[in-house]
Amino acid sequence: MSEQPEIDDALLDRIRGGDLDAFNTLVLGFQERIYNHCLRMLGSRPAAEDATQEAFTAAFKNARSLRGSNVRSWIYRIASNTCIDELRRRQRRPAVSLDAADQDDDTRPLDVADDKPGPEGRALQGELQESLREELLRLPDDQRLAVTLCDVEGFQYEEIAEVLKISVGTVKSRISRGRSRLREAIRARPELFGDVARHTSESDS
Amino acid sequence: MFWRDRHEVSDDELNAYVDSALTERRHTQVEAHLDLCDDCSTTVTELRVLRTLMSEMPREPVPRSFVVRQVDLDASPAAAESGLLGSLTPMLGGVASVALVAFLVLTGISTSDSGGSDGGSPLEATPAGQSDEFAGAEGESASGPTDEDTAAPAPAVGLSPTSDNESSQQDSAGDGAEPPAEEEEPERAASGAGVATGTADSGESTAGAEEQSGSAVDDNDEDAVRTGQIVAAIVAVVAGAGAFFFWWRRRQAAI
Repeated sequence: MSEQPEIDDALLDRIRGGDLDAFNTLVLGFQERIYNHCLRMLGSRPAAEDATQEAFTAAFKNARSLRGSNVRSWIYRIASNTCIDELRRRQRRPAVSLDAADQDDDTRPLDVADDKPGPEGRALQGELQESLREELLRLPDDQRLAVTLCDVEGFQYEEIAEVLKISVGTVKSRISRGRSRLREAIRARPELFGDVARHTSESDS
Repeated sequence: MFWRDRHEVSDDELNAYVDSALTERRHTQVEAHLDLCDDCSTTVTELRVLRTLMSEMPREPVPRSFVVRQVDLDASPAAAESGLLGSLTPMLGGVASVALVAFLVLTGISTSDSGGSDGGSPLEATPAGQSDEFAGAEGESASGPTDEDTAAPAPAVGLSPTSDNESSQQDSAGDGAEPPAEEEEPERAASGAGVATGTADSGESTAGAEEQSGSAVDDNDEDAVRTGQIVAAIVAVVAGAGAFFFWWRRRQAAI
């Protein structure tokens, strides 16, 4: 889940120098992650597609601002800002709500392709994850962003603070409040929760 | 000891505990607390389940390649960055534009009061300096390469500046009045327009007779118009600077 494309200093230098081919190496390495990040933030496949392309184009244009070697934080920062801009545009057009955006396009559930639990456990887990995905879209944007970066993308608190340009304390608070609401969603499905909790404790031990 | 443990662990800390983001010392303290507190222990279990579910959320395959092509960059050089504009930028740009329209209209009124018999409409009589000045007030925000939202209203506000310039220059030449406001700052330009009006009043020969009958009222009106001009100019400059500021901040945030 946390595999990262190999990016060495020479490639970074070429990217900073405006080498489009070098930059596209980065795109190929990150596009699936960034697309899914945008999808979780925006809840709509076409919107996620647009945001992903917009983010990569903006990243290329700002390639000179890529400092240090933390490419992941840099690219997620641009993608997150692109999503926030899109969400703000939606707020200015109240007719398009998150739910509506989710409904008006392809509404098939996300593919469940996890291979850890057995078939039955996988179905239960998939069901809970679908509930979570819906609940995630109902969270306030700032909390959704922090929780997604932490739990889905595996960022540390300090990295999230860097990506979002906020304090670590604010990161903690947003994650805590966001998860609190997501826990409610889990509690609402006790029959699923019990099974997944067992699975979690088994895999922890 | 128990009561201290019970109240010392916040939700934020329980989350940080699950994320291994506490100091070693604090981690041990929270761990000890969990042995004593069923509520917190349940919360931690729920948080762990949540984390597991979230971290194992399936990723969708990309619907297409997002490789950046040179042709896309050439076709829409501003497309990507325009998305980074904050919501405040176009709003303030709009305010700046409206204020400038107000300023131009008020300037047109004050000018047409003195030169109405020339047959020029208020906007046509607007001194050429106003459109230049608009560029100055908006120039900061419009100087951004992609400030489309802010810059977009400009042509509408400008109201074909070339022809305005020509007609107003003709008016000035015909009245024998200097065009003092042409290169000035908005505030100075506002008062400069007043000076131009005064000069025109005294210099008018054909239109002067028509104007004199209402001169007492005109003085009050002139004051009101002049105040309006100053206020509109200040609003335009402040809103324009604000639009630039938010545009710049969002641009920085994106980098």
